[in-house]
Amino acid sequence: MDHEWLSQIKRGTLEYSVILLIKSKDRYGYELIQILEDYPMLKTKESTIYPLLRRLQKNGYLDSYWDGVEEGASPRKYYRITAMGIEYLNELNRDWQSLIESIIDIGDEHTK
Amino acid sequence: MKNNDRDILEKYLAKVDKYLKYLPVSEKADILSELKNSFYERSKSSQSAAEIISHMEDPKDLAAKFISNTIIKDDKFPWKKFMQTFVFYSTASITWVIVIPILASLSVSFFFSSGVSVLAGIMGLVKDIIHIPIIDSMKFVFFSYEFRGIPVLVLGLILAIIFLWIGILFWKLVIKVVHVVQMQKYRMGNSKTL
Repeated sequence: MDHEWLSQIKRGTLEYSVILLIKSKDRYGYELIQILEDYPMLKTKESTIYPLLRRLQKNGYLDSYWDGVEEGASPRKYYRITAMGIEYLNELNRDWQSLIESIIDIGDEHTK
Repeated sequence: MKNNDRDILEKYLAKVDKYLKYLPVSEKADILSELKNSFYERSKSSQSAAEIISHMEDPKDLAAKFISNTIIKDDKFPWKKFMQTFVFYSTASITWVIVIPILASLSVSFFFSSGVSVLAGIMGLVKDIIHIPIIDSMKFVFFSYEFRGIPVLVLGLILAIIFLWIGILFWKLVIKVVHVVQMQKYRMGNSKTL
């Protein structure tokens, strides 16, 4: 399979996946890496996820807080979605829907 | 975590820290703590340090990703500051090139006129007493009235005082303008460091 195509899709959809995951509940970075590990097209690493999370936070879509787990353990930085983030997610949902419809439409109408 | 493993991971984080040097300390600490937590979680799920590092990229590349992110976010062009600076330097240069020289030469001209008035007054007085050909051929006319003798001297001195006063006024104005321009520049310099 063409790797360029995969990386392009990942670039465009990772942000969407991350916001979707954080909307369902507050998450920390490594947790997101673990969840996405199960999806070959969305698999990601620290070097991608942390800069992405910081950018989303700077844009005001996410909020964060540190939470120490148990004694002696390293604290986790949890991200939660903001009101602006929910607004942004609605926009992404609409875009995603429209993209899928467009692809289906193109497949049906123009390639027969 | 084994001590050896901890060393390897600490070393990696120290390198990232080094390459993050241009970020604010608080942001740097935040990034490193987050990475550290990731390492911790990975080693908890029984990954060895070598395994963890193999998932990471070069510390320099990793740091670059955080830095480019920050730069893009902070890259809003400071229009307000730019306009302030632009307006200041335009006004300041117009002031230096046009306003200050005009005021200064006006001031000097009035000082000169003041001196000439004194001279004219003295010559007018002298004209009635001693007869020197050059001075004889002169007429001392003020608003189409010709004056002779003492009144010429009095008028000359009055004019001299008025011209001197105007000259001093313009000179004070020059000093004031220079002072204002410098004060503004000083204030701009201060706000830049804030």
